[in-house]
Amino acid sequence: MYGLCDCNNFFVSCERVFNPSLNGKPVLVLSSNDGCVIARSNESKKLGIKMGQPFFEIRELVEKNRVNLFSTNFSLYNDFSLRVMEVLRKYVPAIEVYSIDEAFFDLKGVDISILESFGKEIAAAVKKNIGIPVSIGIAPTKTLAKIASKLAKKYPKLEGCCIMYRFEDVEKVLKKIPVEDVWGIGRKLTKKLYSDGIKTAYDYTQLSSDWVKREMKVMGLRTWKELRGEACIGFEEMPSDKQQIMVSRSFTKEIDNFDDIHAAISIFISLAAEKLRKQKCCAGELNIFIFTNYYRKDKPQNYKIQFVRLDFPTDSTFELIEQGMKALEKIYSNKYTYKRAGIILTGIIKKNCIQGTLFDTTDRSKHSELMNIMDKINSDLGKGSVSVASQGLSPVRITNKHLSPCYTTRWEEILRIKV
Amino acid sequence: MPKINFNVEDRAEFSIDLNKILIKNPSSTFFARIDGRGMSDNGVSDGDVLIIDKSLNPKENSLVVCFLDGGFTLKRFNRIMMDLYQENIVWGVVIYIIKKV
Repeated sequence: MYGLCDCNNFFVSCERVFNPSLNGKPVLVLSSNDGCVIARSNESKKLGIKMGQPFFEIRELVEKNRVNLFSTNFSLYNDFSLRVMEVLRKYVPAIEVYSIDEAFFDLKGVDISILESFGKEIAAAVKKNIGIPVSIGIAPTKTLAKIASKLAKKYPKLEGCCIMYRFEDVEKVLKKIPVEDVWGIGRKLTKKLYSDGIKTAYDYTQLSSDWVKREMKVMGLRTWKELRGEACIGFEEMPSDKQQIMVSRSFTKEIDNFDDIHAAISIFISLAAEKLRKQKCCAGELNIFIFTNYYRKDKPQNYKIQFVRLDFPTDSTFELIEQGMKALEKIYSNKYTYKRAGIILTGIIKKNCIQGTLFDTTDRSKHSELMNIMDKINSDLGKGSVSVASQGLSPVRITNKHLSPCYTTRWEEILRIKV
Repeated sequence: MPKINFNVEDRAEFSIDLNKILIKNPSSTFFARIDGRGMSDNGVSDGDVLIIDKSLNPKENSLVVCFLDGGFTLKRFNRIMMDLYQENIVWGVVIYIIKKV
């Protein structure tokens, strides 16, 4: 049997731990630069606010209903995530951290008759010890465990844990689950399935395996088997290295000159390169993108992405910035004003797997050494203490108007108790 | 006599680490700072740092951080008094107080 522990409205729940007066009130967490909605409390969901909705669309609704706003406090959420995972590990030795707010359990060998009370105990412990409400689903496959956790979230009567394994139970549930809510069924597939009259997860399981294999390919077949109780998705205990690293932001003010966008891209690259070095990897490809403001229908629109394949995979901020700037020059135009920009590193491989080339002229060991020193200073003195000159001094200010204190990661910002 | 070299790794004992001694449950431990003089009678002064463990259950007379009337406050735990509140107001149990002297 597999379990899935999913934190309820995770970012909102983190904010509520240090601000319990927000319980029962509508809360929203906004993306960096306070651009769009990335987490909603149940009360905000009831107001009809959608995930990913741009903030300006809901400004009035927010003011009228006194919705509490927060900017993304990533340090806080990350710290809480680590705490939640730590508590889970005390109960289940084998957990797979699937995302910041989700983890799978391998429950092989645990007596089925105690699983439900075991799940409830874990949910209660996370709530009490850390203050984060969670929903746990237990089922024979990961895909079914995801569905079970959704039921646990929907029905408070279940006390945080839903177990489903009997054939009749699973069938009854799947008949009520819209096919698009199944893990692994994307928007594109949903469209196709709906046009073929397949609306629920149950409908999907009733298709023939040949049809699924032909129309939905291998991944679709895997989901089909998982829904029918046959475990196909393996268990990964070790978090895998990121296969791509993306850094992007919306600008508070639209950028209309090359120097500012140049500086922004440099910052994004150095942030990404730092992540790359942290996981001891190099990137072989770099993508730069710049977008105009989609919502400004009065202005000309332009979306450009430039792909660069590097001659040699690297983790050096200098090399990546050098290549990035060449790419930026190709796609930048002074005819437009830009609202959003970003970079994506792909072709990521372990540093110790790289072969040298005859034509590589960069002094790599020197670069490496310099990068280590840069990372060390930045981690000791705070982000951005040392940077490559092209980053400029403070070209893009990221606005986080509603940022809460970093209660758990900064000594000056710990909770204050007035007595 | 043969000469024996000791490596750092061979040391039988390590320096005292307050984190390890004071914090038994890192995942449920939080810090807070006292702002004000309202608890001086209980030995809690302005600027003191509290180490709070949310996983513990308070005992009679435990020092507890409570959330009450929209704000955090410190109280001595008293079962009869706590039962008067509609909901659980205890946020965590104070396990140590760090004072600057």
